[in-house]
Amino acid sequence: MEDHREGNAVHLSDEQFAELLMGGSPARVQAHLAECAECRAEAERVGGAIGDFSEQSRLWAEQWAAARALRTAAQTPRAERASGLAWLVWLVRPQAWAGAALAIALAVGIGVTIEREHSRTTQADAAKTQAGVAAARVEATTVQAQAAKAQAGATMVQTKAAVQAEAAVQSATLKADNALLSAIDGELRADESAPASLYGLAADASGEGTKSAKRISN
Amino acid sequence: MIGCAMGETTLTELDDIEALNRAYRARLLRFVAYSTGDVDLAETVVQDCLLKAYNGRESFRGECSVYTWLAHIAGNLVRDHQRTRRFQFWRRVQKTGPDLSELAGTLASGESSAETQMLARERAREVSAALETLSENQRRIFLMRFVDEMELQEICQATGMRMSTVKTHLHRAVKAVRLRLGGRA
Repeated sequence: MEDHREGNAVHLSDEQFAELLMGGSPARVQAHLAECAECRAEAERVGGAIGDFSEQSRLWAEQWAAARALRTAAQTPRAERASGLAWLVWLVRPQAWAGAALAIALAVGIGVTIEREHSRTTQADAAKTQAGVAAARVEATTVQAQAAKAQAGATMVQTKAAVQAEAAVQSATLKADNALLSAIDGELRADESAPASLYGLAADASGEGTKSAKRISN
Repeated sequence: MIGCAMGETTLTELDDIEALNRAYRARLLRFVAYSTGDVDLAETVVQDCLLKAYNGRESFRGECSVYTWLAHIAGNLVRDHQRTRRFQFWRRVQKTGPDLSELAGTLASGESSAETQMLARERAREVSAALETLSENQRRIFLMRFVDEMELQEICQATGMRMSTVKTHLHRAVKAVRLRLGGRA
């Protein structure tokens, strides 16, 4: 430990001074203070200033903490009121009503918008459905047309077959009729030779003089 | 972490966060506010400190006083805050240490004169101004010793520093305060 020298005087060093302020007071330091008014005055001034600072900071902290406790105490009943009677407080606040009105307006606006959008979507869906139905109808019509065409085709085939069958029947009937007429014609020729010879008529060798049954043709 | 064999009184104290709050809030607030120069930060740190101590009371083994343990926790929290860039920014922009001049009326000196009170306020303001020139560690240790009146051993426990380091910081802090108060260089 070294003493601080100032001119011819020897004073307490920084370490000694700090030790003194911290409460340590060796006999050598005490002896110096008893003799040196300058060091004694400085020790009292610095020690007193630190004491003042300590005291004032303590008071400040206590007041600050007390104020905080008061704030906390004041907030607690408010919180309890808020939890228990919040609805009542809410009722008497115009801002709350304004907020509620705004919320309702927003909700209605949003609802209308959604409804409109929904209607548009529904209409679009309906139009789409109608278009689909029309397309289906067109398709059905096409199918029907194709069916009709097919039916017509079938009818034509049937008609053709029927015509052919009828033609065949007519042809057969015609042949039968012709055969019958030929037979009748043959019988008539056999009956005509006897009367002609009887009355002296000479029979035409070409047979032109005789009448024959008219042949039927289509 | 500082540990301790818990005494019955200590156990009761730590188990009741309201009791912790009543006993130590103001003291911690003073220490942190003058350490950081920021009252709002001090409020936050003290709140966190008390909560952390309460939640971690199982780890307190009673090898030191409760306040020493709390000061240790508070010191760590202050360091954490001071490391953040946000704190550094606001520290530069606004130095908001507790204004002792506003506490003039609170000085408990019913018997002292107005002049004495004024002188006391002026001296306290000088000390406060001197503290602003100190490093973080010097200021913290000065406050622990002269404001919280902690023993050197307790300061070592609270800061995790060796005794020689604590004494060095303390001597430098005292010298700065002496110079501010018109002492010899």
